[in-house]
Amino acid sequence: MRFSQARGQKIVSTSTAGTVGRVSGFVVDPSTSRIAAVRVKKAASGDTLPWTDITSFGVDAVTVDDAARITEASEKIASLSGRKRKVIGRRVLSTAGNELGRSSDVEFDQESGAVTAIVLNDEKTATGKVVGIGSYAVVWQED
Amino acid sequence: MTRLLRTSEITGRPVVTLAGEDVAQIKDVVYAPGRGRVGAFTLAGRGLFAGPLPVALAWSSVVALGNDAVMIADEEVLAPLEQGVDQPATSGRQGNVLGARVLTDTGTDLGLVADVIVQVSEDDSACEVVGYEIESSDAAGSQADTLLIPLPETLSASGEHLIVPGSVTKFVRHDLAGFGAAIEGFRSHLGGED
Amino acid sequence: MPWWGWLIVAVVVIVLIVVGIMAIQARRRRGGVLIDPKRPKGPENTP
Repeated sequence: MRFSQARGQKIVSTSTAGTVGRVSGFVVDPSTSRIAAVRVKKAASGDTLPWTDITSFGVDAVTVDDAARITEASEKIASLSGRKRKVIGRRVLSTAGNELGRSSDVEFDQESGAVTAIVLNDEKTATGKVVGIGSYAVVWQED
Repeated sequence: MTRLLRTSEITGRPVVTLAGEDVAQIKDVVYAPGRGRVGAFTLAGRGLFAGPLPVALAWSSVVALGNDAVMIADEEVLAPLEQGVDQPATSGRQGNVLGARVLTDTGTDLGLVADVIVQVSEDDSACEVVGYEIESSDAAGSQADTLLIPLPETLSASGEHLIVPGSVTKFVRHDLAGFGAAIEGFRSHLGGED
Repeated sequence: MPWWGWLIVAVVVIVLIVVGIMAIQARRRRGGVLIDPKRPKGPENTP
């Protein structure tokens, strides 16, 4: 699944069957190349849903067992957030030192939250994994 | 596949950590005259107001020399400049090969060095100085303004004069395509002479 | 000279200083190809 497809998806609590928020973005941990948390809008209890607290990341909705899973960002997740830690709209450098382009989208695995491919602004897709997200570029290790 | 690069393409390139931070840019290429190996780069800061940095990047710490960036593991690999490495940079042109005059060992003046050609091995493990791009004085028997000459594996260099074997004029090229073959040919020619 | 005349002079001077510093630093960032001074002329360096 791509970030662009997941954005706006409903987050539903399985205990109350009500919508408790919507996906507004993602926080990626470059040390593991996985999604650390989902950014949430229109939720009462906070703006962050850690990936480990998700029951299931479905095609049409994200399910959680309790609305309280959505909290304020922990210190670790806060350190991975911010304008310079975004993955979309950034310069993408390969680990070989070649500029691949600018990132327009990201493909991820709904089971594990692993980032598996990066979509560039020329619609080319590079498979591999994230190794770094810095102020200059997203560093991408190609398969 | 080894790659041939002009050092002017390398200088100014950003030095980027695998975490994605641009910590410096390449200033000078420093090489040992005896073996022609590139040993280190001196660095400058990034940004309009940045000057030279007091640290250097050893070739052994380079993860990859790419088309758009020089990748390093992290900022920790940048070591303080060793005594002397910054001397040439601060004392004018001395020690800088660019602008130095190339003489053959038979005493012919080939011209001034405009650029230096380095060969990077496939896995980025070695970077060797293999040629000079020269703004020619007519002696090399060519009308072209710039020409490429291959270098022997060991060369004599002082910063003022660079001495090359006289037979080099037979291996002159005008562009990087085919220059690899010229280096091979020149070096095997030198080997055959001994 | 009116007060705004001095203001314009001050702004021009500041702009010139900033541009000058940028030019000097750009020059200092410019690189070359250096022979490692730790290994000056030695027997192996002379053909």
